[in-house]
Amino acid sequence: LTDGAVKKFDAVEHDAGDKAAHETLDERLIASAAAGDEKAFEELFNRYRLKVARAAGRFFRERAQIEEIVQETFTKIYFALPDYRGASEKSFVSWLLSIAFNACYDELRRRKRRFEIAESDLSEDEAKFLYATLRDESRAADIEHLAVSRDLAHKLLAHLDADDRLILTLLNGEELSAAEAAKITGWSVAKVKVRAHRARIALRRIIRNLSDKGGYKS
Amino acid sequence: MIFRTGSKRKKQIIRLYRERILNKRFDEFGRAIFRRAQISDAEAEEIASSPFLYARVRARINAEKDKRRSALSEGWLESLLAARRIFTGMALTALAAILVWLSMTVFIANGRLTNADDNALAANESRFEQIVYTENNASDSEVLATITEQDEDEQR
Repeated sequence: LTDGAVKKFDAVEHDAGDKAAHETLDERLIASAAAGDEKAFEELFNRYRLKVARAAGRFFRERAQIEEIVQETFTKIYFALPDYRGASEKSFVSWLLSIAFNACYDELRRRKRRFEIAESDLSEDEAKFLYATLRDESRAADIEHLAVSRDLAHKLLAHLDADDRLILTLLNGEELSAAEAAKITGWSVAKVKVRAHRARIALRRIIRNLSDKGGYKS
Repeated sequence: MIFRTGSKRKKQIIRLYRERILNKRFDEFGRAIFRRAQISDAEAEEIASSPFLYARVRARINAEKDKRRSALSEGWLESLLAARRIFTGMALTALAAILVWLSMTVFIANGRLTNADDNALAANESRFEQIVYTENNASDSEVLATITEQDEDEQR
């Protein structure tokens, strides 16, 4: 697949806004990359690296960690491309995202094991700060506020199990349906629903503690 | 529920209603925490377009390829070593089997020679007796009497 062909397809897609053309190009790129065409793989990387970075950014805040997930995801994709059965089974984007989310999930589990002892509750001041920042969205405009509150949000979410974190990210963050989340996780729809219910209860418990500390009496 | 008094039931309904409102608020708050925890689009864009990211992916792919190749060649080497060990074992077993077979053949051959000698002697003995009886022109009753006599002597 030449650069010219890629640009031509991109132009068609841009001009007509044609989703089919985008998918056709994807299919050609996938076929070429699976056959060992390095250029086609690079093109796939360029087209989807932002999506993967966004997906990783829902779980991790450190730049190095997000880059690590991007690298891991594309390495896995490179070796798994010959096994990809085409859009008839799963669209390329959803296949790619399922690999990315699974890489995030694995890292969450590794972290949970590594930092289990180091994990601690938010202090009263931290809880008050986070609570106030989340209630007043205008404070999020302040970069410093945003960075601190993000750190605290991560600290809070670290109390969730990797499963809970994954399912709530997919349902709340990505706003996917239970069926779509099931496709990505490889779980059954029933399991997704049960897991989501439990995860919401766990999150409510965490927030109740936060609100108690933050001065809001439930 | 039927046995509860009106005020108790009313209290329970209020409590459930309050819990539902609180849960709704907590869920909204939870979504806000998730939104806050995620990086912005601009940050994602910056990370995704960081220089050498693709070069690092390529390096990782190449490292993985090397790893798989070496694992494969190690696998072959291990198979060859295992095959060598198996062949050596089989050769030794075959050699032992041949040696056993040869020694058995020799032993059986020796055994047959001994039997042949015995048979020859036995045959010669009976032939000798035949000659004695024939040359003396002994009748059947005389031969029988002689044999019986011999048996009695042996028994004594």
